[in-house]
Amino acid sequence: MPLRSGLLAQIQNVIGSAAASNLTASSASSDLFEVFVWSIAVDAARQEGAQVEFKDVDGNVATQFHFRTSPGYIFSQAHPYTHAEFTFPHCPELEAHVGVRVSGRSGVLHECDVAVLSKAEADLCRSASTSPRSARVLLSVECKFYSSDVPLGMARAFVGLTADLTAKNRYFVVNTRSDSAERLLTHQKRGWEHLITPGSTTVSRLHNEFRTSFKHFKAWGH
Amino acid sequence: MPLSVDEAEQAFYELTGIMRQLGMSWLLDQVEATVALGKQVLVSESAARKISRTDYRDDLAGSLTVNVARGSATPAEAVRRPPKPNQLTRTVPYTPAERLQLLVQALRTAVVGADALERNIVEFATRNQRGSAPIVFRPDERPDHAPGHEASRERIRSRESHIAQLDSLLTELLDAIDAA
Repeated sequence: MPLRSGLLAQIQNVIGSAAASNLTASSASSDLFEVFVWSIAVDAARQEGAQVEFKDVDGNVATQFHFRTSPGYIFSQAHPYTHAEFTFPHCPELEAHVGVRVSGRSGVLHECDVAVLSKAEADLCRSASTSPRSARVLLSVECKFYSSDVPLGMARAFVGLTADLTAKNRYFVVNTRSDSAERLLTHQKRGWEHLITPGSTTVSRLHNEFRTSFKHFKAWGH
Repeated sequence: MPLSVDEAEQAFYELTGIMRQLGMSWLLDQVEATVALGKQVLVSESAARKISRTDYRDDLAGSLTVNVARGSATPAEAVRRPPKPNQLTRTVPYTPAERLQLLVQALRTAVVGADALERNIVEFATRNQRGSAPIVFRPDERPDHAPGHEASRERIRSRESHIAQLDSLLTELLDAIDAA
């Protein structure tokens, strides 16, 4: 079937109006993707029985969601960035953040696209302007929004990152797929999920993985 | 008449030009990185030896690829299995039609897929906030260098019909490539 004459011209005419101006930068799509994955973690905690509240850095209830466009510090006062607070019965409270730096075993700071950590650690870090220790992180997620296959190098970097980041549950989550990256991560026994897009069947699998992490946390917390 | 090689190459060239004009070079970089790596197929050792003796390697290799798909496994899933000792992984270049397909799918992910993400998180925010204020994205460091952006119902609504139209046009283009 040959291309219909004028098809590309029609695409050209409509694409400028369809693509939001901010989506001409890949980083804007990545920001949306990180918040999407964070929202999956929030829903998973809620379904596992957590009470959820949204707060800003000063502990005020968030009336509007603010997120980072670049990795930052949990104690940052640059904007009233939003995090979610999870309260499970008889358990220490947790917080879920987007794009915060976490200190690895080596003391080096690494970016966690999504991080769920103990509220006590987060409070300490906010008051002392320090970064959370990865050992106090329950769940960390490396999010990759790609228009094409995720390069193998990203998976390699994740394997290296997780050698230093001692969070209990670490995931590499992408919106597309890559055979080689997935083979490497499976071989290295790292958690990963692919094709994470709104409405896809793999979202429920990721949701359940997060739920399992919270279930185990509740068991430890008692 | 199927989509010819020339048509696929011309369409690829035109689409890349459109994306560059729109400042979506990042997307082209990602597609080009995938294209540069080529695609992996499994061949038996005897086929590999046969391929090595001919000048028309890619033509021959197509017919000698190991058929590893069993049961419900798709070819993509099949190649994910570790190769057997007598199998080798061969990298072959994408055809012009496949390159065009990668580009169109990337464009759909970047525009239609990102719109779906924005729609989803705005719905999440609306469910979880008292009002329907926009979601604000702001840089933590060097705020003077990057102004940030917002996600809101109004913005989604304003481009709703364009997204639907683009999605339909891209589907038409993908169908034409598939038919080839």
